[in-house]
Amino acid sequence: MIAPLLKNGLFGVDTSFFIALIIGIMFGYLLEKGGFGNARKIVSQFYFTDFSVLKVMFTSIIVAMLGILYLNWIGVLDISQIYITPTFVTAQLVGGAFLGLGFAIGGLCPGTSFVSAITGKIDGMVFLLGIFVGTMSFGDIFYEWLEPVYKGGSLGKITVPEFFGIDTGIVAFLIVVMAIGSFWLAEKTERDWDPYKKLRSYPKEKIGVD
Amino acid sequence: MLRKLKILGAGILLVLGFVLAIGYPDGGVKSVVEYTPANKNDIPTLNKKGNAKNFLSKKEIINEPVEKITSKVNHTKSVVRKVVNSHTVKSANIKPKAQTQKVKVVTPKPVKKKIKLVAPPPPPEEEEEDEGC
Repeated sequence: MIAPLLKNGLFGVDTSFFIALIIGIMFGYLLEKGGFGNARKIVSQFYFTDFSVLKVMFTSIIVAMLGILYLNWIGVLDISQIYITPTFVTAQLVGGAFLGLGFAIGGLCPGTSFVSAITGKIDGMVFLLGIFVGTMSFGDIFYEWLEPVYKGGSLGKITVPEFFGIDTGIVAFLIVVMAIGSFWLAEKTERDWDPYKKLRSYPKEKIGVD
Repeated sequence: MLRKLKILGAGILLVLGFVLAIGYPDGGVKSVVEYTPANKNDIPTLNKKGNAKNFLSKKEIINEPVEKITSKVNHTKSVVRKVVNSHTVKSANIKPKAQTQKVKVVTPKPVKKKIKLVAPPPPPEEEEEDEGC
């Protein structure tokens, strides 16, 4: 198996930085082209009027998942060499809740805030400032205080199939089904959920519109 | 048109997911595991369930057909074939060790000088003095 390319020595660390830069530029460019540098676009999801974020994110998740599993299956990618982030249930629940709050209130997440800031949007810049202040203050002030939180519920490096004791292929299939179901539901909601629907269907003469 | 494309995309994803559900080996396809064998006759090779007990010996790898090895381990035939090839290629490409000329370091033996022990000349016989009676 030749992949992961870096771990199998196909190129060095220096080259990997260069490749990461290229991928980062492409990622940022596509985020901006998709409209995700705009907080209004992201926030629309929480008003049920535009589910682009959900559709793009879920698509990227299942494409990556299927790509990894098929590449492993045909003997190209060694899946055991891929880094898996350790699971800390408490920390990730609390962190996820804060991220969700920031997402809903400010309309940006860490990645999109960079895109937003680089295109000159002030809200993106304020977001970036918040990210740096939060990260630095966590390391300097709260690191010891919050230890029970960020080390709470440690499950180690575990995957969903391992956690539930189900075959990887079946989990993958369920995630695909879930994604397609959510796409269908999102599109249906976008079509049907219209806060101004009643107003539009109201007879024009009654609201005094010519 | 867009609706048809969406249905086509969803169908492809479902088929890909379904194929994984019925055929993907549990835990994924393992790579060749590198480890230091306890026994020198065993070589790092296919790992069956992720532990070091289930390694095949070099003899099994080279002498047995790919199908038989595949049935023993949790790998696809292509992976097994790669490993077998790598072993046979390795064995074919073994370069003879550079023969080191054994230079006999001859340490010169200390030359023992044969010292002739020359007996000291006998002391001249003292002429017996005739003792006068």
